[in-house]
Amino acid sequence: MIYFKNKLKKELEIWLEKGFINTNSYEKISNFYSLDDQNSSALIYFAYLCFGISLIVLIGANWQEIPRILRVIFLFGLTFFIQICGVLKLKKDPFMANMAIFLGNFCFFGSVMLISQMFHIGKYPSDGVLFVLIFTLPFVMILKHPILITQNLLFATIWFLMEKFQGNYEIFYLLFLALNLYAIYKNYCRDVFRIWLLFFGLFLICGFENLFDCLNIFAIFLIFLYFLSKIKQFEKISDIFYEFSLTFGLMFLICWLIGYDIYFYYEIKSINFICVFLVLLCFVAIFTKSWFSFWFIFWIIFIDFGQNLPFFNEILMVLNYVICLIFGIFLLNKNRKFGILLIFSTLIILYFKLVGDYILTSLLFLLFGVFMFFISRIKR
Amino acid sequence: MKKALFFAIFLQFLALLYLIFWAKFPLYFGDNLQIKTTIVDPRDIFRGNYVNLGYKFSFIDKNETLKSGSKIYANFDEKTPANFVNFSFKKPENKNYLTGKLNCFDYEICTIRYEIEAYFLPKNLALKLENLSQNNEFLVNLKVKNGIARIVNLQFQGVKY
Repeated sequence: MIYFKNKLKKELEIWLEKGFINTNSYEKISNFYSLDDQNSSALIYFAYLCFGISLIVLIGANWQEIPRILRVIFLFGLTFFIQICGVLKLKKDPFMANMAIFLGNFCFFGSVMLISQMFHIGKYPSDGVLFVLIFTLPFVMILKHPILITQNLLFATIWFLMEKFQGNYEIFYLLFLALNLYAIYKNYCRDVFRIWLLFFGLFLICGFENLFDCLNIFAIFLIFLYFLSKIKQFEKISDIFYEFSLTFGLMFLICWLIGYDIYFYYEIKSINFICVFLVLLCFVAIFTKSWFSFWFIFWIIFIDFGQNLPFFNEILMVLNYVICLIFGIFLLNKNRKFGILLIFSTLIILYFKLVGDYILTSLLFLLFGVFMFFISRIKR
Repeated sequence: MKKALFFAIFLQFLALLYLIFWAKFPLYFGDNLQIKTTIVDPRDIFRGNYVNLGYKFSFIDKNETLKSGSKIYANFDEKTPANFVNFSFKKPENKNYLTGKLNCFDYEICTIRYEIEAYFLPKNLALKLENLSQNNEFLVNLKVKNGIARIVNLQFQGVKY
């Protein structure tokens, strides 16, 4: 049986590569025969994401003592070593190959940041994000892997939001959405389609002058859709309504949550911080699929952000992070999605709190990346 | 597929080389220009600590002729440090000018970006410069080629940072 499963898994990967089946079919067959442990895959996604963020934060520490040329050679070397390893591994292990290219793209991001840091180019990093977005797009169009599509959508949305907060409503965002939609169409994956919808919704919402008025309109629209989907004649399209309500619902809750806190309790100077946080949180939250998770996020963020309220003292703050992380690790075995969500949310919030101490934050992400990678290996 | 992927990697490599060339070009071939600046100490979420360089010629009163994204030229005299003279919308013939990009999302003023608004430093040095800059003006040494400027260093009371 084990031999059959191994053989089937290898065959499936070849079929996937040749285009006989799409990612969705691959996952369905894998699940039916229990070929691939989905928990392990998600942990690996998370581990690689942590590695990427760790590298980017590390560059922020500004290693002025190291000569420019050495910094450039190191990061360029790392970028292309990972990318080339990914391509060479494509036949033997397509999953890990795609993950390597995913990480390689983060290294490319890091290289662009390093160059703009070394030569003191500009105050606004949105042009740099656009640069990264354009030059990571070919991998999406060639491989059409869900994780690469998600990454590219993430870059596109960070760029779009940065431009938006400089007062520019970048219509070219639609072009990137369209190209990624084409990749999703060619290799359908439900979760990635949800993310796409989320970002498309974000594009529509940003067209409004007042974000909160817009959210209210969409909330009424969603209630309308919900009741419409309960009518028998509309049953067939209820799935689409469900997708929309889930996607936009996520966005509303997170926008309200973050916006409310920022406007009333916090004095965060750069709105870019919030944008990146919003996008990253959506990226993780979208994978949870359950409405209950929103309340979970709400609770966690409320505690994390509430720490500056007068009745929270410093000990409670430290305990809060420790408990969140320990509970997250505990949850990994019980409910992988909740566990990842909790750890990731806490890490991101910690990042914004610790920003300034780039080395510590980088180490934190690296540590959790290694931890997740280790856990995923054990599970396999 | 493999060939296409290697080509994509090659494209990334070329992109990074281009970025370095674009960043270094004014440093090698540009002319010196020294201007006054004030500094504060913010942080960038991606790129680390930097001092934010403020210039008097980074703002212009809003009017109907100004459009976001369009080019504007800030002209300077020949002195050292150079003094800001005026703005123009046609490319100046002299070499003492900076090319900026307009951003008119504010209600009353438009801001202008010259890509010389940030100077990246380790945290401690950034904080030190911020303290030094209180009620003091710094000088920023630039290399300028065709209006594109790169920062060489910051200068305060003869000391370069």
